[in-house]
Amino acid sequence: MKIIYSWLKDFIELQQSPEKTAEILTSVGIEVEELEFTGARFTGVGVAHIIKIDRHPNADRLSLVELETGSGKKTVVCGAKNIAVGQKIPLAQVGAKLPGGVLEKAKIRGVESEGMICAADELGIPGGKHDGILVLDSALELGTDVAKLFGEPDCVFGVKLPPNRPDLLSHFGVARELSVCLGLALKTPAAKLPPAQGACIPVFVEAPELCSRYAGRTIRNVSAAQSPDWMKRRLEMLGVKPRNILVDATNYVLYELGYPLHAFDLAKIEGGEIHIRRASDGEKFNSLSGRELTLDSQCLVIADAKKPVALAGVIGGADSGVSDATTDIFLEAAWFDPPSIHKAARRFGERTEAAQRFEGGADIEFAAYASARAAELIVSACNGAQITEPVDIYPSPRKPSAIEFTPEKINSILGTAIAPAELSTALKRLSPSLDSSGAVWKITPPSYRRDIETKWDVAEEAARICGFATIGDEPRPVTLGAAETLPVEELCEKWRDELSALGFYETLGYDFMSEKELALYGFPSETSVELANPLSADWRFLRPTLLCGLVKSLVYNENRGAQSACLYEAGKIYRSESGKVVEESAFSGLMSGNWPADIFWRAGETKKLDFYHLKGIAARLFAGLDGVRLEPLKNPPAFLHPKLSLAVLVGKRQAGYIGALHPSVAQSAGLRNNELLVFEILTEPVAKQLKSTLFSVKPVPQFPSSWRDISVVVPSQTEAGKLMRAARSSGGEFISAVEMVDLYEGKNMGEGKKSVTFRLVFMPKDRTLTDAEIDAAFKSVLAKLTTEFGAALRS
Amino acid sequence: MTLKEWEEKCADIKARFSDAISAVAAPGGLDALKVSFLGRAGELTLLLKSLKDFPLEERKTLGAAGNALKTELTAIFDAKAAVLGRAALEADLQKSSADLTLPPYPFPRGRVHPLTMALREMTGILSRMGFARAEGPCVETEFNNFGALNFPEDHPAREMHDTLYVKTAPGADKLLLRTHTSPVQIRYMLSHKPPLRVMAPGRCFRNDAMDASHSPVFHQIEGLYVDKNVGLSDLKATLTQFMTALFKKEAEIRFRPSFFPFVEPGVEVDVKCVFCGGVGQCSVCKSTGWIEMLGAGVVHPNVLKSVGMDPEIWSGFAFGMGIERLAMLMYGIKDIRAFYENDIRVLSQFRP
Repeated sequence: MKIIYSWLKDFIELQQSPEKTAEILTSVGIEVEELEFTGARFTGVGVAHIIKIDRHPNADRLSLVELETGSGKKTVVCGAKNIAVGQKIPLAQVGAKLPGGVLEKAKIRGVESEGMICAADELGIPGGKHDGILVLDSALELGTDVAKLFGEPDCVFGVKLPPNRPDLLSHFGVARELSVCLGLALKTPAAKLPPAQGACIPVFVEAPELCSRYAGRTIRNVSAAQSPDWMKRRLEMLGVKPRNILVDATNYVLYELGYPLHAFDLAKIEGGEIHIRRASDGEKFNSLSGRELTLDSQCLVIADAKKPVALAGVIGGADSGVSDATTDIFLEAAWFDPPSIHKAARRFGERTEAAQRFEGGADIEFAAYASARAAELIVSACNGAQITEPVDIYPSPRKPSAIEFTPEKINSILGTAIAPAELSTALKRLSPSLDSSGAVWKITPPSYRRDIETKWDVAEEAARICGFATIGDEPRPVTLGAAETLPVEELCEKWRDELSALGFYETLGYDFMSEKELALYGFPSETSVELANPLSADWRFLRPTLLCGLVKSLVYNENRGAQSACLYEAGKIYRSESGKVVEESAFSGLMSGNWPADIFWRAGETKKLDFYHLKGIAARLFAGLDGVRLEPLKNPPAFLHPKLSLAVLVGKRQAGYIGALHPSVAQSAGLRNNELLVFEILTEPVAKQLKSTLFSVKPVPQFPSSWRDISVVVPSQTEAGKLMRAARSSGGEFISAVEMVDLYEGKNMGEGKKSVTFRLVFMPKDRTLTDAEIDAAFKSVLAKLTTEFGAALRS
Repeated sequence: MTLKEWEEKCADIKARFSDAISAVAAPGGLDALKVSFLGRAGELTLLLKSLKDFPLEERKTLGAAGNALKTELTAIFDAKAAVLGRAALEADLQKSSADLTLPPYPFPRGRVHPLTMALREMTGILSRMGFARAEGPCVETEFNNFGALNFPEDHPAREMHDTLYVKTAPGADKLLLRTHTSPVQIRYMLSHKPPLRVMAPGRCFRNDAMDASHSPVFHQIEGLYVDKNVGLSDLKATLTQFMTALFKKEAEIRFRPSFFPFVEPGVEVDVKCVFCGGVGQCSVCKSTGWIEMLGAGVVHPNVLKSVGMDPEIWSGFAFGMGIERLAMLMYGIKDIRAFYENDIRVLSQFRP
């Protein structure tokens, strides 16, 4: 909202400058977001005439300009390029007050300058640029005060108001707030009316539950005349286009007092009567904004004998408003139920100034006064205008109840030690109703402050009036318990550090996916969570996997030249399970390109990332998490390579997978490299494996281990894992590990054969094994591999 | 050979050995010396063998002296060998021609996300201040997100939050993507007894068009302390300590009255600009000297009532802070979208 500085001065003796006022407003919760200065903010600048221009003797870019000021000649140094003999220009003489400070005598490059020819920005003219001096109208008389050309100095504040303070939506409201906070006297605008003549038109409130007060009066013999200049100027400063006095007066009162009024052209009120009623279902209404709205009984309308003439409190009708031909008006000042106004304004998309004030709760006690104020403005602008007696239907005046509190409680809420006397003075400014005579104080909030309901609200007012600076920041003792941690978060933190140290970058994706993306990854839309009001069609669903976002980040980086990338994200994934939203924490990643780097001077040592790199990463992640294991994936998800994928299991529960992304997905996603390795792990089941107990170190054997390598030739499809398990189980009581040393699938192995070499490691507790014992174990392993897998010892 | 002659020969061997070994300059020369003095047919060996011709008494005396000499010469020899060996090794090392300017072998290094970095700073400080960690789901009920937090229905306050709703079956409870982390307050207070002190970082969502300062997905961190007799000054003390720790210099904060339905009094918290110290031209605080940092206040009595706590007994403060905004300040990031682009060229600039 815009607030004009000079307008505030109508109501309070504001001594502070606009800048200082802005600071005060911000400090009391009326946040000033911008200051727009208008008018002349300078003195001592007169119109002068350029009579001669010479080069500055010591500077190529400067000129010596001789001027006629109307009271003698002056010579000044000027750097502008657009000067010319004959121009009328603004000359600031020594002592002139400019926005940048007071102009002093100066020697510029050795030459005395007797003043300054000003550019627009040097005079502080709004939107003024510094692209040369300001050239004035040649018809101006020499010596004329330039300030007069730009009007009185003023300032328009752009303020942001909290939604619980509709009372601040006007100049009077803001001035009233300042008067309370600064302790200034408040002047109320005049509303003097000529004697009333005759009765107002009949008004029937047929839906009193939605309209607590309806006031109005008829004003006859008016004309749609121009408003006075001062009113037009203020409206224009607010960005409101002045039209005629009938419209402008209601707008002016809206911005002055914050009370929304509406003027109907009486000639267009059929039957000459007003009904405040619910609309009938399907009833049509043509709004001022040029739309036809279809109403129902939820909507409150102002109607004449036949049709709605306004959507109550929101917008007037196209056919009932005032026009240039209007001679008689009916002026409405009503109070409507805030939630119903809010609903209607939202439903029909008519977020008008009026609706904004009604939905927050305008001051019901102000209705009659606001109506009188507008009437006064109209009557004083239209000669011969006659007002009728007002109607004012206000059957059950609002009785705000008193709030009881103790000064101790106020100090406790604020953590302050405000003395009772000071507190009493402060709150009396808010409401003279304050009764601070007993131990329990009572205050009845003013009618315009419907937001003050409890002692906590009173505490805020106390802080606002006494100044928030009175609140100290001395630490007081606090109660501390053992601060809990979250296992899932602990696991994610551990993995973040682990993966970052291994070359992975953490990413953050949006939680949304399109239907097309769901299909690409093979998620049916029925089991996905859909948004009712998505930001866009591309973001209709909540992600059932983090991989889509990771792949998008990879595409983004590939398009910017990255050849390799390892990325991960910790986040939520969502699915719908029999109508319920299931939200799970996932930790996912992808690997693409080369390891450990794209290029590297030991060229042969750079490897293309493959499944076993991924498996190695998984091993790093699961290290120390007993019970988490990789097993064949029974039904690989559609986005994974059907043969290059494994399930992550915790007990019997599948907690994710690792694998190669299905090449078709990679291709459709626009990836250049379609050999992509991914993992997605549900962190909640895995986090349960984090050990919460201490462990103890086991003693190590005193003797070194012994080892023997065994190379066997087996059919190609034989799984290494099975061979290793068999070796381990048949290696006797002292075998402590079976490690894979080599895998060879060259042609000389023969068709369908491969050679595998294992190292059998033996580690008895209390001695070193003899060669004979190792021989025996070796033979036992070989026998097992031969009988189970048809292995032959490689010669 | 007489005893005397034997002794003279002994002295002569010692003298010549000493001369000879001093003259050796390279390890290669040592072998010949060893052979001629200490080898099987070496002079000292032969001299010791000749002892068998002496009578037993003399043999004892001379034998001891001869063996002592052998030990002495061997020690001199070994010391010389060690010196020469080390010198030869050093000379050898000097011949190394390794090019130390070759780039190192790569050990890939990634980064945690800048928002994680900022969040770690914040949670670290709060956790040292005794705040437990809590979390809640992103898909929330309308009650937890609004109702319990004192946002009346059909009130403009709800519109401060442009909300994304989840499609639900007709008649089912309305679900939404939480618009702030404050619903975690409700969840935590329902499941824990006061006094309580908790922080809840997490993702939030708004139906906001994306631009340089708005993102439909963003992160907040929530703080909540409920105990007996907690007031605004406790909030100020906590936030002053928090900001001091965060910006690593004495922070000054100020409160401005503001409105959030779930706190009363509600305040906007500004921090004295840590970049310009509150003076001069500054693009961060736009030369106002203050940076708007977060919203906070005293927990609204209606919120306490909605979780079954008596506001006459319990009181508390709550604050909520945007993590992106803070990270933008801390790292000089101008566009909020940068956090979600995941450009490795940006991410890799952060210090691991």
